[in-house]
Amino acid sequence: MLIASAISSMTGYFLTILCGRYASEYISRIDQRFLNRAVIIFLVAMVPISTGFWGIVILVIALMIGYVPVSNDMGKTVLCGCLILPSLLM
Amino acid sequence: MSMDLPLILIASLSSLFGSACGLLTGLVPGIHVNTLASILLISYPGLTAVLSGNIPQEQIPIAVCSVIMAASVVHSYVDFIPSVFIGAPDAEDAVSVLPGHRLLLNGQGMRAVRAAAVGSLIGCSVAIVIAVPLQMLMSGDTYEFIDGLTKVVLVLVSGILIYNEMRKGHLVMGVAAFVLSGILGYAVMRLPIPSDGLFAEGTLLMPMLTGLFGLPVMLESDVGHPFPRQTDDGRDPVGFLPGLKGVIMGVVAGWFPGITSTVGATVSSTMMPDRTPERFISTVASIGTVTTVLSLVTLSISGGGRSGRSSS
Repeated sequence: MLIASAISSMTGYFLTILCGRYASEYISRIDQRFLNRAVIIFLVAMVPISTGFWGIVILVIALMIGYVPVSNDMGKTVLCGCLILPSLLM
Repeated sequence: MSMDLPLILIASLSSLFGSACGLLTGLVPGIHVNTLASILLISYPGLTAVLSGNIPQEQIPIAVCSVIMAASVVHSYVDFIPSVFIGAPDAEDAVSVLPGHRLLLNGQGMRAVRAAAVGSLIGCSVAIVIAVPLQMLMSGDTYEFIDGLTKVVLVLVSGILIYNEMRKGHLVMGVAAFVLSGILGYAVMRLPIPSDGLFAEGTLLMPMLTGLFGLPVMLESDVGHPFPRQTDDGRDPVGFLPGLKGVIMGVVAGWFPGITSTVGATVSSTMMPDRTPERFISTVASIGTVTTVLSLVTLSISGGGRSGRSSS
């Protein structure tokens, strides 16, 4: 396990820099709105594909809650309650 | 401990294969490394059949473990790329999406990437060194003691998150957002809500995190101008301190359920503020990688996992 960690750590570092360079090079050629919308469509499409109808329900509820910090100019870290509270109530 | 050459070779080759898998899962938004671990687990009999002619039977579990470990580590490195360049969040790095994306809009996306890579590298290096001694320290009575502290730590962390909002005059809305997201999280994790997708059963964490952290940012930043030209001076923008800070929080985040690297970074930035977005990003990346390494090493020694990927 530790050997695997060591090898993958080095490859991970170089792959991150490499992918970052490629992404930096191509990102300035892409229209921000186009990319943004493509990703939104991709993510929204992935939800029913991977989790079905209830995934869409969860997405809509989460989106409404996710807008609370955005519309009040707050930090988003309070939304980490979604992971902390279930652990507290366990 | 003696280790013959073929075993090292098997672990190395498996790690390279795992790295390729981790690169793929890390770069595609929405694919979590736990999904990869599940696929590997399901395909274990098939993998065994393929490998049995080539490597000794008793070394097959080592090969599969190395693949999962390497995939998880590389995933924890490269999952920052879609966060910065696309704005798609993961459970591990949800709060670093915004500072990373901001640097990108200033033409400094590579500073964010380098900061994350350095943070992960320092985090992983220290985690490898401390993993086994830490595991020995955490066994027996210490485990019982620390496990008993879980709820106290979680309450303390919740208090810090809400205090952060109170300082900015958002006490009521801060509490509301915390509680509402908590109820949603409870429903997703504890209630038997069906999550059957087209091909297999998925995790409802994905739509929850996308709705909470990803989509609102993307919908708000829906502007038409192209991204500025990115510059890269090729230098490490952060140094080793944020990475080391990440190690401390990573140990805590790896141990207590509910404290992801995101929460860990927020707590650490409240108690030890980061002066620049690059340093914050580096801390978050370090915490994510430390958590990954420690949770898998913990599993290999104790047989009990604290995260989805180690449980797999």
